[in-house]
This record gives sequence, C-alpha cells and structure tokens, in this order.
Amino acid sequence: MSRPCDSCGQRPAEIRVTEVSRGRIEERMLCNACAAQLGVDASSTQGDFSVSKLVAGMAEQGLSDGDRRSEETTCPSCGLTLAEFRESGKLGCPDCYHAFIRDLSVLIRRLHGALRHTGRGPGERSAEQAIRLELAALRNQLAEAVAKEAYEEAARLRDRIRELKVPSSDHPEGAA
Amino acid sequence: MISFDDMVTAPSTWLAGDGPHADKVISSRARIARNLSGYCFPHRAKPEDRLRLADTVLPVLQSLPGLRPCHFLRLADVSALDLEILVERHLADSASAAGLVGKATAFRRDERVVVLINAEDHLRISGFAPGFDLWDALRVAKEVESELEYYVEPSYSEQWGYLTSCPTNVGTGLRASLLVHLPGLVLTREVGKVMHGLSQIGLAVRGFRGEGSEVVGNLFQVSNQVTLGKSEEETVETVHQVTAQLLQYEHQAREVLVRDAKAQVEDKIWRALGLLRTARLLTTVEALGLASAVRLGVDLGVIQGVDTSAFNEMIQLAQPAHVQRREGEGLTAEERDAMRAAYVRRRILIE
Ligand SMILES: [Zn+2]
Ligand SMILES: [Zn+2]
Repeated sequence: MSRPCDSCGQRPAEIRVTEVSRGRIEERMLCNACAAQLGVDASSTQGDFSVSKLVAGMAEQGLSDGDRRSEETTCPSCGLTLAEFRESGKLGCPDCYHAFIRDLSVLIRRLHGALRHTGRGPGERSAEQAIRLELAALRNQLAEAVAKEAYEEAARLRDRIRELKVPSSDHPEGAA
Repeated sequence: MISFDDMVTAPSTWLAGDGPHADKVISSRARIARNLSGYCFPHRAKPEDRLRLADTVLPVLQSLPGLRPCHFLRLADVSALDLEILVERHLADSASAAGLVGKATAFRRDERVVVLINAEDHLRISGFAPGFDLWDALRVAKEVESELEYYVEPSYSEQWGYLTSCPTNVGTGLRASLLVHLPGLVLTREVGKVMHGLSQIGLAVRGFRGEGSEVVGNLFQVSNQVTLGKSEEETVETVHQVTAQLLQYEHQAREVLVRDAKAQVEDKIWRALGLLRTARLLTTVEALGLASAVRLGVDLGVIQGVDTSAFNEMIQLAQPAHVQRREGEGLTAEERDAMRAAYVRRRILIE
C-alpha cells in the first residue's frame, strides 16, 4: 500500500478505521502506530480490519530496541518463527507463549497493561460469579413468569432474588 | 434439520427488543475464546488436524445440556448464501469459501448461545441476551463453557491464563460487548468525543457495520479491550458501568435535542417514516438509518403506533443474504433493494 497514513502522513497506511467525529462518519486509513494510539480494537470482528497488522506493528515497536537476532527463535511444537509471528501477529500454537516469552511479555504489557492472569482457571468458579449468574437466571425466569401471568411463581422468584446478595454489591441495575 | 427458509423470516430471539433498557441497548454479548492443548491454532493447523479437532469436539457439543436443542453445521456443507446468512446472524465467523475445512458451528435453536469451531480460536463460545444484560449473556456462555471443560482440556497457563491465537485475547479470553443505539449523541455531534473518552479507559467503541464499513443505523458496539489481569466479573462490571454512564449521556443528548431543536428533530423523524413507508428502493444502510430515526421518534413519543421491534428485526432481516434468501437467489442489487423496500413497507405500518 503506497497511501500514507491519514493521521501522521508519514508511515504507510495499513489499517482502515471507521470513526465518528464531529457528528460525521469518517473513514481513515492509518498506520499501525497511529491506530494503536487510538486504541483501535479489531479483534471483535473479522475481515479487512486487521488486528494481526496491529499486533505485528506493535511487536515491531516493542522489539525495535531489542535483540534482532532473536528473529530466528522457533517454537519447537509448531515451527513458527518469531519473524513469522511479527509478520502475522498470530501465534501458531499454545506452546508459542513459552517459546517467545521475552518478546510476548513486551507486547502483552502494551496490550493489557498486565503480565499475569488474575481470573479463574479451568474448573474454578468464584462465589461472586456463581451468585451473579444465578441472579441472571432468576431474573430471566421472573420475566417469563410475569409474561405467563404466573404470579405466585413470580412472587417466589422475587423473594429468592431479594435473598441472594452479591458480595460487595454496587451493581447498578442500570442508568438513564 | 435446519430450515434456512424459516430462519430468514424471523430475527434471533435476542433481538426481540425486550430486556433491560431496550430503548437504548439492543443486545448484550459475551464471547469466550478457548483452545485445546495438543493442537495448533486453526490458522496454522493442517486441514486434517482441523478436521480431527472438529470430529473430537462436535460429539461432545451434541451432548451438552446447555446447547440443547441445537443445530450443528459443518460450514463446508453449507451453500455460499446460507453461510452469509449465518454470518449475518453471528452464527459463523467468515463467509470466505477458502479454508472452510474443519470449520463448524453449533448453536442452540433460540440462538442465545453459539459455539464456533476452528474460527480464530479452536472454540469461540458466544452468549447473547436481549437488552442491557451482560450477566445473562455471560450466563448462557459460561453454562456451555463449564460443561465443555469437563470433556476437553483447554490450554491454560498459570501466568497467561487461557491461551489464544492472538495475544489480544489472552487471559480470560472474554469479550463483553453491547450493541447500543445512540442517535442522540450522533445528532448532537457528541459521539466522537464520547468514543474518544471510552477508548482512554480501555473500552473499544466501534460502529456497527453493514455492507461496507460505515456506521449503520446509529448503532455502536461497546466492548472491553483488556483480557489479561482482570477477572471475568471485573470485565463485565466495567463494561456494564461505563455503558450505564454512556446511556446517561445519550439520555441527556436526547433532552437537548427536544429542548433546542424540536422542530428539526420531529421533521427528521417524520420524513424518515414517510420514506420507509413509500420508498421503492432501499439499501441496507439507508433502511437502517431511517429505521433508527423512526425508533428515536417512538422513544421520544413523537410517533405512536409503530412497532418498536421493527428496527431490531431489520438489523438482521434487511441484510443482503437474508433478503436474497427470502426473495430468491440471483437477484441484482437493484432488485434486492426493491425487495427490501417492499419488506420494509409491509413491516412499518401505522395502526
Ligand atoms: Zn500514522
Ligand atoms: Zn507454537
């Protein structure tokens, strides 16, 4: 792509970004760096709006001061090289996380501002989550009961919902 | 057996237009990315390995109570048009014919929960709920995920959490997103500022895309960007609370419109209704844009007697593959626009 980035006008544009500004819908072509600054998240959709390019661009940046020789680092399980990861922004297999840990740490810190998982692991479920999920189920059943005009059932469900308290509850039931 | 003819006549149940704050939040979605140890990620796996994974996972999915009653489809067995219909309903990830080997989808018949196999990750479990209810969306997804964990071992590391093919999803693998209708913020030209503010605090806001990549129908998708270092609960709460604030801004914007530009806004709403009821050719983008204005009119009390679920319904039913499937294949774009306009005229009636 020869077109320059619409924001900095210097680096080549690689990512198409749809934005709404000043009440207008604007489509801009941005370089990886400017797109990253916007906090563009492309991972929720597929297609031309390429998260791989974003990640690859960030990997390049994270590494620019680092050791270039590590490009030949290869994942023993899937054979992906660091150079290929930089190109595509995608890892080849779960073991790549171990093989490229040094470089990934730089990238992941940029992406998430953290270096450690704090949520649950397989087979675990937090007490808070269990209660919240049960509440969601009860609210669902309540809506159904009301729709079917099953008022006794609805009253029972309402009591149950009142009994279930979420720990450290500041869950707003909505605004506006 | 699945009937695509029936499918294209009704939207997914989560577009029903009910649920909390349904006047501004169309739907809630929680998507969980999971991979199996011992396999390369789909984009790097050999076709035979993708098939092996699908053959392992499909029978398991068929046994899960959380997915029942369910449809299972291997994407290679589906026609190109039906594949696009699945994509328009978030029941498949890609309409490209290349690389369909081993790709499959399993979804509950009410479409509240879907598992994509060999998409960007081995498994992508999405739960949907109508209105503003991320916890309910998460609930249906988690139900399937925890049942599944009993049979297949996800790749997980102590440090990074659940491992995903793209490092943007590593950790919880959870993307919590809301589809919100923000005509007030668009009309008052505040939406850019608000979007920028949200991106500063780690949320992504993107326009809902139609055929091209333009924002359609004043619909926006709000979601978390960070998946590592925050629990699922924290993620859902953050997206929920920030969106609650966003709805306040939208509410204020609507009040400003009514106060300062009543005549113009009412004019826009009535013109939109007039066009929807009389136009003979409508693109998806135009139809949703006009329907958005009419929906605003109903919410503001300017118009009565229009079924508010029409707007939600059009989000899927006015899409190209849906129109094509209803009206017959091989239509030109103009014929499709004519069919779409006819469908909209039937749908938007005044009592
Ligand atoms: Zn730039
Ligand atoms: Zn690997």
